[in-house]
Amino acid sequence: MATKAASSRQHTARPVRGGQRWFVWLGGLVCGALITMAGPAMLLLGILLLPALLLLAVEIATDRPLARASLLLGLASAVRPVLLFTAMAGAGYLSVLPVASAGQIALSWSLQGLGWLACELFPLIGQTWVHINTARRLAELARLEDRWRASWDIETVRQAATKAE
Amino acid sequence: MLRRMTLAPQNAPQPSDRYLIDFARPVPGFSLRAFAVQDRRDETRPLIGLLAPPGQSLRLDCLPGPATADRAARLAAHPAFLMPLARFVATRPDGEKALCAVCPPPPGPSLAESTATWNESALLDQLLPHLLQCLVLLNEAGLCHRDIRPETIFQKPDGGFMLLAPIAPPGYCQPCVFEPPWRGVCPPEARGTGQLADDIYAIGVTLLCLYLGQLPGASAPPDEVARRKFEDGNFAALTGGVKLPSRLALLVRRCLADDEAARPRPAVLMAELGKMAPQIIPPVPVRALRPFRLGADIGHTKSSLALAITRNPAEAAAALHQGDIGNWLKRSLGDLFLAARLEEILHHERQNLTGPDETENALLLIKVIAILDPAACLLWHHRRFMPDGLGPALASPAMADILSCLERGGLAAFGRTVGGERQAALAALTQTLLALYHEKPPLGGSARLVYALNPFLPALSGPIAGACDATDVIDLLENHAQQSTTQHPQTPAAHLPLDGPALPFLAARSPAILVRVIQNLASGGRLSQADEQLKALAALQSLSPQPTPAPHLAAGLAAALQADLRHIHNLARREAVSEALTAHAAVGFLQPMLHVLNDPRMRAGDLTGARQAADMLDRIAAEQARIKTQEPAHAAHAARLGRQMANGVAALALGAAIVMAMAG
Repeated sequence: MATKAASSRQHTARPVRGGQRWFVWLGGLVCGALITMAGPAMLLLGILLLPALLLLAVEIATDRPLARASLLLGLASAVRPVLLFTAMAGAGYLSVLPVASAGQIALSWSLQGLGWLACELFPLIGQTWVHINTARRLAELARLEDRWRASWDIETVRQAATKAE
Repeated sequence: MLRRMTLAPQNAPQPSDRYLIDFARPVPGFSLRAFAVQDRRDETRPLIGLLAPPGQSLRLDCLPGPATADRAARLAAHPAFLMPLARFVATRPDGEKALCAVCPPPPGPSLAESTATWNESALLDQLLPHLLQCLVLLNEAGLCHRDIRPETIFQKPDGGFMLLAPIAPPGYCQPCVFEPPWRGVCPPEARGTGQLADDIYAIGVTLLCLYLGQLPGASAPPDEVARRKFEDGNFAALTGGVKLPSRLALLVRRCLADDEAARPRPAVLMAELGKMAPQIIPPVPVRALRPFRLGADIGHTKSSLALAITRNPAEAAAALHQGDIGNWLKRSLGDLFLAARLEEILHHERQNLTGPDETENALLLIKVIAILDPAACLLWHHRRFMPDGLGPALASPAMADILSCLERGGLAAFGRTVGGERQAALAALTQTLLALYHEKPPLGGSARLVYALNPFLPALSGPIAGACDATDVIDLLENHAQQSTTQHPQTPAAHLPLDGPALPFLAARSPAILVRVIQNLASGGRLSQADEQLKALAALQSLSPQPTPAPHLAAGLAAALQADLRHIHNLARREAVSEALTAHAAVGFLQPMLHVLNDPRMRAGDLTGARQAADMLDRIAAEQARIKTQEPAHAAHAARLGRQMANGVAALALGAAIVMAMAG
């Protein structure tokens, strides 16, 4: 599946166009400003959202659905620690350590893994549902065809029609 | 229809069932092959079966049959004739089928069996009136006898006579001496239907034969007999110089007149019997001063010359072109008119002749023979036949190549040369026959032509061999099917009874409405289709006012029709039709089977249903194809939707976390 996913990503990857380059620059500037102005908080977020950020870096699909789901769940888990950390005014980089406890990191990373897992499982479930529906309808049609063929010699009809043409 | 047919007398035995011919007990004294016949209704009744010669027919015009019932009854009512009681198709031990006429035994010996000679009084006062009365009766029925001779006249115990009815093909069994010379030199099958004058001639020879005991030179070859007749005249040649009583001599001389138009009619002869007739001496042939010589033949009369030409066609053609024959006619015979006509024909031939051609020579000889003797036969590539014998000659395999004479205009050329009424008749006949010949088979072609020219000729080949008319066909096919079933009793074999050679016979012997069915059967390969055969056979079975059941034939057809039931598309309906066919086949009538098979409502319903079924299956197949084609797209869409749902859940979770954090 990984190979398939990678292949899918390769297919869906698009090079950054010239028109979007300013957005990358803007993103970089904003990130730089945030790191400069709120470096400890950004460190905390970086620790908590590390799997999602790695996924964001690694995933090459255009809309990065896996990274997005992981990031969103990671952010959901990081809301409370970040608020607690920002409440500690003037805290330095070391003050990140109590907040980013092993439990908090495990929770956050688990939720991000859950996001990744959901993003992988939901399409599979959808595809399976489509396959089941298709097979059921085809079986219905096959039964219907058998019933008609049991009552009528269709081949002679087709031969007669062919001959008539 | 089924009810009407069921009410028909199914137990009435057919002639073929009623009579049993015993080939181990031949009956002597008949020119046709005769065998003892057993009547299963009355086994004590002695009967005789007269068999048709190979490739020929018995004359059906006085045999009991659907078309001749009235005529046969009229003749049978008169005690002058030994009439056949019935006819049926007998199978010889070698497997060949032949028409058989069932007759009662003769009332006494034939006149040929007695060695005693007859006196003039007995011949003229007892025998001749009886024979003339027979001729009058036949003439009223529109028939000629063409088989009068001592062997066919039987003496009754009361002293009367009985003449065997005309059963044999015309002139077929007559020794050549009893036939007029030109008919006598033709092969038996090509002597033609003949006319009343030929019967008068045969009566004259019979009287002479009975008076003299034996005719001088009667055992000579036909050509020699004819040559003597042409050289000396019929009367002188047959009497051989023996002096006859005056009354007998006069009557016999008139009967044997060389010119057939000079032979008296029966009524005239009967009128003259009672009184002394005026001395009318028929003219004798004009003899040339010097004889002609053609090949090995020498003669003095123009009829002898015509006969010599038929015997030596190559020498005759050479002599014609060298002018020898013209010179003989002019200088020796002194017939300048004939010589001029011959020169005219030769001049015409020289203008038209493109080169040495055997056919052109044959046409030339036909014309030359016709001007020498208008009563002569036609000669075509060494084969001699009378103009009215074309039909029976064509039916004979040995003479079938004279068809080219008709194609090349030989018959019409003969008529043109003879002139008079025969010209128009032969021209019209040629035109009609050629039109028939060039028609597409089975309505035309050589086989159809043979049947058209020989109205009494039975079917020659296949399982219907021996059938005399269309009403015989079903019985014969039933017998054939019954024999097949006896050989293979377990399963009724699928069998298509009619074959290609049967169609010309059916086309020739069937009423017009059935001819269209036969024509339809012959076109487009329909002969191999069981339903088309059923249609034709049902029509044939319906021809008889009281159709006889044919269960074996029907069973074979029903088995053959099983394969043809494919045109019924509904399988349950097909099974029902199959069962109905089998049930009707067991009864033996074909028309109900045809109705079952061709029920228009059933067919229309079946066709409509089949179209609906085909449409439905088309729709099913289209939907299956669409589902299979769209499945990958649907799966991809479902995957996309799944990812979006995961993202949505994650976004909801973020929103919920923010709200909870804000709420404290």
